[in-house]
Amino acid sequence: MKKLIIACSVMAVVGVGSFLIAADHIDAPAVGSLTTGSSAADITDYYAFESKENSENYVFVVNVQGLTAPAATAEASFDEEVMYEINIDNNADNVEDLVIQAIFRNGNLVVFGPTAPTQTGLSGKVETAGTRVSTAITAYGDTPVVGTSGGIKIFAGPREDPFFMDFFQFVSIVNGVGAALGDEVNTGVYDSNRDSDPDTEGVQPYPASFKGNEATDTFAGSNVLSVVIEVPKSSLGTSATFTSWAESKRKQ
Amino acid sequence: MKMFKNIYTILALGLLVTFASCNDDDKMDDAMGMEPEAVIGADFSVDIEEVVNLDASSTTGESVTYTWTVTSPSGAQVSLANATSDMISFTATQEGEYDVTLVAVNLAGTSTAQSTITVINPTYATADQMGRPAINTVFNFFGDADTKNGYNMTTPEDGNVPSAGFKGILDALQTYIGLDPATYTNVLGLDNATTASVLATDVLMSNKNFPSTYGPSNPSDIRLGENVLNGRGLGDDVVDVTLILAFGGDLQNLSATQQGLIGDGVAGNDAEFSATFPYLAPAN
Repeated sequence: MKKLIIACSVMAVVGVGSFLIAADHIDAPAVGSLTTGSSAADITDYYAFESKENSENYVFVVNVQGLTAPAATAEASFDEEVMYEINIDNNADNVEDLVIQAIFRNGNLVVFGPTAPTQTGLSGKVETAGTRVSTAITAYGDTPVVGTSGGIKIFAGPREDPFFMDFFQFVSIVNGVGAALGDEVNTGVYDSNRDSDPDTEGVQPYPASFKGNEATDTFAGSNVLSVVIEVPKSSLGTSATFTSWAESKRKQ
Repeated sequence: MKMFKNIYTILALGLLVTFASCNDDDKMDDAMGMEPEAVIGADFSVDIEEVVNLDASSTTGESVTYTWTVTSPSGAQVSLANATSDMISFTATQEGEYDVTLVAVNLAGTSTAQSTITVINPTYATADQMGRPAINTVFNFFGDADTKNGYNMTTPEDGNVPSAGFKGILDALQTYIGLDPATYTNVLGLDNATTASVLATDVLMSNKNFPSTYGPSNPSDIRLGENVLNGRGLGDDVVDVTLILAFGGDLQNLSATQQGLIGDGVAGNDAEFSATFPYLAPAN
């Protein structure tokens, strides 16, 4: 708890604008930050859902390189040294039983799996035992190029960032929590007399909740690089339930 | 044409090499030009799935015809679109050694060159990891660089983060708005310690037998893993679901502050999703 209080104080001092991070956008310095930007290894969001085209299929989406402005999108590119891996656990032990891998070569997306990996955990290789599908990466502004093989559909290219959130209002509220834990009173409780901006005359209280009428989608208008893979549900193991997670992995 | 092909095949097998050398006198050379010398360059290595380009254009001799044979690591012959050109390319889909043979033929003779292309399947190591939305961002909000990086490089099997830290954040957020974290249970009936331990293993749950959704459309009909926290769709309001779990309690007796904390006011994406693959909206 003490560590948290100290951390909150630090955060309160740093202030609002330094935390433009959301679903998972620039969530850690090794993959992306406000100064270096979001890299191809920075997973901004991961989605896994039943196909809208065919309820017998499941769709996986890995979005990377978030907060890409439209003017910078044509230049944004996947990295041949970075693999994306979707991990699927069928028996609730949090170890992947199947993987779907995506790599990039010469302007193409190549997808492997779902297949049982020869190696689990933090390092791995391209698993070539399963289905292999390849297609061209779709260029900015072009109609999506879709690769299909063995009931699997694949796509890679720039897309509008589907994540939506009023991130700045969220940060203002959480900074109020940090201030409450870090001030001399240290009550940890909301106080409308706690000043969020001592440089301005009068008390500017921290917001205690969201102002719905001022709601703004912080991610409106920005783009991501997207990899979308649709597979038959039957290829995801025999269990009705599974858990999944996405990883970016860098060539060593 | 077919006859020529047959002749090349025989030449490729090397059966006529002896014949050619038996007739190697000056008059024949004058009439037919120089025997070819096949040149395909040194052995090299590529990463798996790279396109291998081979160039025999430095081969000497007049009117040379080329026949390439590429055998993959599994022993199968690689199908080549341009096997009789002076340049070929193929995709190295298998790890191991590809054996390449070029037979160059003209009227004066035959020459064979061989090389080996080694295909490497490199090791990749985890850089970023994500299951549920907003875990590293919200629950490591106060973390330093090592904490945030460390989270991304830990497998779910090892527990991505210590759940005590998550519980501390839930406690602090609730205390701030006048709730008692010791007695708080969320709409799923989970106290903070349980919620924290669930979230600390960062995986997304899915149940193939029910339509996927991150949050319930009806808060009075909640079935965990069926209509709550079952996959994550593009339009699912994951921020509101997270806020409801953190601040909403049982949703029955909400204070004015709670009312304003269980939704960020952004109800959906700014662009419309497609009903067809790849579903995401075109880039701005």
